[in-house]
Amino acid sequence: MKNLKLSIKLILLSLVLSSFLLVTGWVGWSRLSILNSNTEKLAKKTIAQMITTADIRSQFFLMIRYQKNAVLSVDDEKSREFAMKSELASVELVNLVQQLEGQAEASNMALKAKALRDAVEKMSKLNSECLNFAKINSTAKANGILSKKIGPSIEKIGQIAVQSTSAAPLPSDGAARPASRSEEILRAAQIAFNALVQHVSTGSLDPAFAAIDRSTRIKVDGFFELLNAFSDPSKTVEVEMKNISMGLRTDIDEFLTFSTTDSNGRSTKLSLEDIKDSVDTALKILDELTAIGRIEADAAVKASDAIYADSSRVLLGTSLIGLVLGCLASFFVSRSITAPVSLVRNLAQDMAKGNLMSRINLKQSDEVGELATATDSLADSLSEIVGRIQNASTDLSGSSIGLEGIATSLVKQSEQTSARADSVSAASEQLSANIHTMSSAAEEMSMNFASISSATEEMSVSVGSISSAAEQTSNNVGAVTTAIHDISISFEQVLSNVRDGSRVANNASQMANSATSTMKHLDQSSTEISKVTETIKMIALQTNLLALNATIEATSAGEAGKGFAVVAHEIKQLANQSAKAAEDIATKIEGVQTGTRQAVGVIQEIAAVIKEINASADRISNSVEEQNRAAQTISQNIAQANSGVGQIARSISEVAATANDMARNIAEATRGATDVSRNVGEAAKAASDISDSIGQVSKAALETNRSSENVTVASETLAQLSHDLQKLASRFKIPTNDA
Amino acid sequence: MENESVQYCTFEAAGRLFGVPLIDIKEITAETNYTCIPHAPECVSGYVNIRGNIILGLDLKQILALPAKEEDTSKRMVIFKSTVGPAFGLLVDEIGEIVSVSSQDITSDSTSIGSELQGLSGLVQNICRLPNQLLVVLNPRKFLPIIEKELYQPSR
Repeated sequence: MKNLKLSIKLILLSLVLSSFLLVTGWVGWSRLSILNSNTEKLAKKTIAQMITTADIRSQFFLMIRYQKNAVLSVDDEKSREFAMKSELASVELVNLVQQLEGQAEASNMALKAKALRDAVEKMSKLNSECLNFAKINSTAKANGILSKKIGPSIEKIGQIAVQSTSAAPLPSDGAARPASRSEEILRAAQIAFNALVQHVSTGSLDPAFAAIDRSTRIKVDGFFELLNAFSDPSKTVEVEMKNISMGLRTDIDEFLTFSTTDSNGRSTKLSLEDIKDSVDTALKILDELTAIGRIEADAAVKASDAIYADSSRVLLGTSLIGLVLGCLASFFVSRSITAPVSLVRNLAQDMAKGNLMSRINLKQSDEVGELATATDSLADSLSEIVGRIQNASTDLSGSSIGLEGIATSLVKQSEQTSARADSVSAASEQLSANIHTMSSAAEEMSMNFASISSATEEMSVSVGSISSAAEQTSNNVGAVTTAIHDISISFEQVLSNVRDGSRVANNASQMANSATSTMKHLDQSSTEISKVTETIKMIALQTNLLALNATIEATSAGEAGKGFAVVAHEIKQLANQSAKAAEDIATKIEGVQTGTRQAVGVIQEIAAVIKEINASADRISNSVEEQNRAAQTISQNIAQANSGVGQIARSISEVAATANDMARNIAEATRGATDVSRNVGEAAKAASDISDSIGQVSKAALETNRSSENVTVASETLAQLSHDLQKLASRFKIPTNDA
Repeated sequence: MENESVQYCTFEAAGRLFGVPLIDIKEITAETNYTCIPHAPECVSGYVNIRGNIILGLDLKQILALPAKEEDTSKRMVIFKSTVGPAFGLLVDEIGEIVSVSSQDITSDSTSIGSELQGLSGLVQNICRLPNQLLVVLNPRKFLPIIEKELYQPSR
């Protein structure tokens, strides 16, 4: 049992259970078939017999009813009709009885059926006899003849006799008186009629009938003798009488025949006595048959009950035995499986906790035994693997520490590269070029200033010849000169700033700032100039007004004021010229301011380039983060890390190359700066060149940084990994070799 | 007399050229610092202090119902002589040239002027033909009566 295969155990178990199921099923089936046959018998035989018996009984009464009707019916036609129906019923009855005999199986039943058939056949014979009598209906006929034919004939004879007696003359021969002869005839006729009535009212089966019959015939014969004697052929009356008496004779003979037959009486007697006996007999037998059927039915019901009780007991018993045996078998089978399985489960739990020392060592050859052996070997191989992992992780941590050192030095190198990339801001030497643009703007400005001064000088010449108004103008021109001095000072400042900018071109951001501030200063100065020109305009307007008023005064003076009016006109013109010159200056200053703002824009563009360099540094750090993820793949094996080291070596050489590039680019930038000094448009182009160069440099620096960061991250991850591995491996307790 | 010329001081109001006889003008000042007069009609700008003399300032554009212009430095006040009216001045947008017009170029036909001046025809003294345009010469003696008329209008 213990070493049987699991499937065989289960098959055995199911075989036991199914065999008990089969036994239970067979018992149930056999019991059910018995029950079925019993029921069938009850339905087909007993009930059919009962039905036939009931049919016989009803047919019986039908036959007797028609027979009685036929007997009692006076009319010939109806009598025959009923007789025929009764005949048919009797034939049917005989058939039914034969059917019953065929159905009867039990010996007493068959016997009874035979007796019934005899009784029925006998009764049927009697019935047909009775019916024959009933069909003849003789008594009724005899009565009819008596009342319809014989009675009137006798009466007529009586009348004729009375007439002949009265008419005839008294016979001479002394014969008897005719009167007394007719009386005699009447009397004889009365007697004969009474005798006939008695004859017909007495049944032919009556014991007195024979005597009555004889006396009646004698009385009738006597009457006819008397009648014959009376007759006289010579007389017409007597001839008539003779004819009537001959007819009467025939009637009376017929009557007597019918009366003697007496069919009604006979049939009634037959019906009442003989047929009644046979019917009673048959009914008795039928009752007996019904009783037998009832007994049979009771017996069948009892048998069914008994079978039902018996089958219930047998089925219950079989099921119980099957249940008990099945439970036992399944208990043993499951026991043989679960015990070793729980051993395996304990081992697995130990292994899960990290204890790889325990084993099962189960000697069992079924599937569960195989499972135990497999689990043992699993524990063996696991402990071996864990031992190897522990050794490997120790080695790994050592090498990762070495790698980390290398990585740190690489990071330093890459930082240096980044520093070099930063120094690319030297490209903002381009700034100087833009400052040159600024200077050209400033030159333009100085030219404008020259024209201002010339205009002002012209004005001062004119003004010098005028009175207090001209003097004021001269003062204002002084202010203009001061402003112009301011402008030249600021111009100097701009120039010095430009020079400073050239000198500090290596530091681009500082340069940009100082240039911007210079531009602001210039803008401020321009605004100041604008203010001055505004003042000049105001003065010109005032002068104009003064001239106008002078003209008015001159007009008021009439002829005397005409000379003064001319002077006033001159002053007015001069004032208009001053205003126009101031307008010119304002326009030119506007141009200077526009140039200045453009220069500021260019400087801001350069500042933006410098900012982009900073942004590149940011992008480098972003790329480093990306590399963190890439580095995780490196951590998968050391070999790949080694290849990374090779890549770093290559990248360092790339850095060297990049440094050369940088030097070249800086030279290019410087050249570009000189070019751009001609105009701002070229400056912008050169700035884009620089940004390209810086892009290259940044790219190289990026690669260096990326590689070095790769290694750093790889080594860090490796160290972490080896640490984790050691921790994991130390969780397992493994059997040591010496233990 | 035909060849004699008259001098006019021209000025602009809402871009249109007007003028008054130069002989009527006392002076032109840039002083536009007004002291408001309560309940005065809109065409009265206010009082102006000219070297201690109080002058009533009238707004030409308001009188001529021309669109108002923003305040700027080019606004001027034309002050008339006392022979024209008692101490009043006319506020104009800008002072123009002083022009001499020969008498043959001066016409008094007032039916040819622009629609803005309808109903005020008494204000227009002459029309002068200048080389480029027409000059509408106003009669400065009419300004104060117009203001008075407006003050005593029954509708007010």
